[in-house]
Amino acid sequence: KPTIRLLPPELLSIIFSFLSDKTSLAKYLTVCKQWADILIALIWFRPKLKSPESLQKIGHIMDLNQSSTFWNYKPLIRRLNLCFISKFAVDDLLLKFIDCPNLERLTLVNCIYLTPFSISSVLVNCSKLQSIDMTGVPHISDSIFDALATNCPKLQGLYAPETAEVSKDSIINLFKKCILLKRIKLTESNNINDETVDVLTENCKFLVEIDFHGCLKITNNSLMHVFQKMTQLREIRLSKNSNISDNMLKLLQDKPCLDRLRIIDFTACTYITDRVIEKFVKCAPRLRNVILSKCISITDKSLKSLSNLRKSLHYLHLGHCSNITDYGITTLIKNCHRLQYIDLACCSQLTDVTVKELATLRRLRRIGLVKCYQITNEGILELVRIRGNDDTLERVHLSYCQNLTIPPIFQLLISCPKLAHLSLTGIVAFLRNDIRKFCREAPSSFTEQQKKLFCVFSGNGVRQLRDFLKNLPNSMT
Amino acid sequence: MAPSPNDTVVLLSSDHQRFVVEKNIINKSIVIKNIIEELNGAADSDDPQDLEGEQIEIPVGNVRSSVMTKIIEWCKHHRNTTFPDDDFDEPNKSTPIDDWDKKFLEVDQDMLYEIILAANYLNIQPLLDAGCKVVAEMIKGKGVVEIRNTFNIVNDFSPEEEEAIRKENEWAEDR
Repeated sequence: KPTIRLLPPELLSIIFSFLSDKTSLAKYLTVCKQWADILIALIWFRPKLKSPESLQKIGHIMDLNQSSTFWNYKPLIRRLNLCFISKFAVDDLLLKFIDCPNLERLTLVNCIYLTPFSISSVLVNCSKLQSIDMTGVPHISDSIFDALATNCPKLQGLYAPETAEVSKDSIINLFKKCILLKRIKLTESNNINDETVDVLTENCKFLVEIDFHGCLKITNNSLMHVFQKMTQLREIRLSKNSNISDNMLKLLQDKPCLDRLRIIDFTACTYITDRVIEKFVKCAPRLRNVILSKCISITDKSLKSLSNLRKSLHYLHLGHCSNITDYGITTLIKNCHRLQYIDLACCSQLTDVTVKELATLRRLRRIGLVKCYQITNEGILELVRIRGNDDTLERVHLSYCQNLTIPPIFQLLISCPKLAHLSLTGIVAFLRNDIRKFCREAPSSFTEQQKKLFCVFSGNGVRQLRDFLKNLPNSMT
Repeated sequence: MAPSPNDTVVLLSSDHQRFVVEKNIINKSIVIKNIIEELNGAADSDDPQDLEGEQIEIPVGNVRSSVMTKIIEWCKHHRNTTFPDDDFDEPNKSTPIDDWDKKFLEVDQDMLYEIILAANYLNIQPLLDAGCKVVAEMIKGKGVVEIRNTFNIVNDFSPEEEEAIRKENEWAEDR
C-alpha cells in the first residue's frame, strides 16, 4: 500500500506550506498526530488574525491553562501582528498574550487603543524579541522602553514614532541594553538630542537605518560622530532640523568612507548647503535616494555634485529648492541616466528645457513638476515625442502648470500605457465638469476653494480620462 | 555526436545500475554539481592526468534505478530551463505547476514520494517544489476522512482529542 509516511516531517512541512495561502491549515489538524504536530507549528507561528471574532476566540484559548490544552500554544507564537484588526485591539486582548516566550516580532501598527500598560506587560520575558513596530500607537512611554531594555536584548528593529513622551533616561537605558539594534525610527522627540545620540553611537554598532524625523535638538556635535563611526550606515533620515550643516561631516576625509550609505533624507533642514552635498557625494558615492525637499539653500552647485553619483542615483526629491535652474538639471540628467523618480515641485525657474532633458531618462517612472509655472504645451509635446510610445511613466504631477491645455495631456495619456496617476489641479483647461467627473474626490480636509481646483486622476480614472479625450472632437489640437 | 567521457558522469543507483549522464544535464542537482566541481578542483590542483579518461562515478545510495530514470528524464527536459534563484527572488508559493512537470508527475503515489525524496536528497529545488505542489493539490479540497483514505493514514486520535483540537484551533478557520 502506498504511504505518505515515506516523507519526513520537513518535506510534509513544505507540502503544507503550499496549501496555506488558499485554505485554512486548521481543518487538516485531525488527520493524524504526525500531521497535527507539523501543522500546529505552521498555524501558530504567525496567527492569522483577520477578524474581531478570530481575535476573541484565540484570546479565549490564551486564557486557558496551557497544561490543560492539547498543545502548549504560547511557545509556538513567533510573530504577532494586530494591524489587520487594530481597531479591536484593546489592552485586555493584548494582555492575553503575556508569556509567549518565543515571540520574535510584535506588530501593533495603528492600534490606537493600546496603552503602555498592556504593551510593556506583554514584553516581559520576551527575550527573543527582534522587532517591535508601534507606528500609530498614540502613547509610547518610559514603561515600554524600560520593558524593552530589560527583557529584549536581541531587539534589532524599533519603530516608535511619536516618541515625545519618552524620557531621556529611558532612551539612554534602551540604547545601552539593546546593543544589537539595526533599524530605529524614533521621531518628533526633544529627548533625542546630542547626549542620547552619542550613547547610541557608542553602544549600537550594528545600526543600518536611522530615522530621527522631526527631532529638532540633534546638532552637528553628535552627528559628526555618527558619520565618523557608523560606516555601515545604509539609511539616515533627519528632517526639519535647523541645527545641522556641513560641520556634521567635518571629521570625514574626502574619500568613500560611507560607501554603504544609500538613502539620505534631509527634508526641510534649511542649513543643508551645497558644501554638505559636495562632501556627501565624495564620502557616500553610492547614494541611491536623495531627499532634499525644502532645503532652500541648495543651488545648481549641488546638482553638479550629485551628478557624480552617476548611475547610482535613482530617486531625487528637490521640491521647493527654488534656486535650481535648467542648467543644473541638464548637468544632472546627462550623468544620472538611471533616475526613476524625480520631484521638482515649486522649482519655479525651471522651463521646457528641463522637461526635454527629463524626456531622455529611459527608466523614468515618476515626475513631479507641480507649480513649475513656466512649463508649456510645447515642453510636454516634446517629452512625448522624445520618449515615444510605450512610455515607462507611471506617475506624473503637473498641478498648477497653468499654461497647459488638453492636446499635450491627451498625447501624454496615449503614449503612457502604464500611467496610474496624473495630477492636474488648478489648470483652467481641465476644470470642467465633463472632465472632472473622472477625478478623485478631494480630501475632506480641503476648503471649498481648494476642492473647486482639485483635479487628480488615479487608476481607473486615468483610463476613463484617456477614453473620454479620445472621443472629444478637439483634443488633438 | 555522442558526448565524450569527460563531459559525462556515472551515477550508481541503490540497486547497482550505472547511469551515464551528461554533466551539463545532471548539474540541475546542486549536490551532484558540487561533487563534480570538487573532483575537478582536486584534479586541477594535483596531477592533471589523474582523472583523465576516467569517468567520475557517484554512488547515489538511496535512489532506486526506476526513480533515477525519472530524475534524469526531468533533468534532460529542463536542460535549458533557467529557474528563479531562491536566494534573490521571493519563492512564489502560488505559481502553478509547469504543465510538463504535471504530466511527468502523473505516477503512482509511491513513485511520487520517491521522486520527492530523491529531489530533496540531490537538492533539485524546482523538482522538489513541483512534487510537493502535486501532493498539496491532492490534499486540497478534501475532507479529513477522504484524506486518510487517499493517503492510507490511520487515525490515531480519540474522538475527545479530535474535539479538543478542533475547539482550540477554531479561530484559525476564520477566513
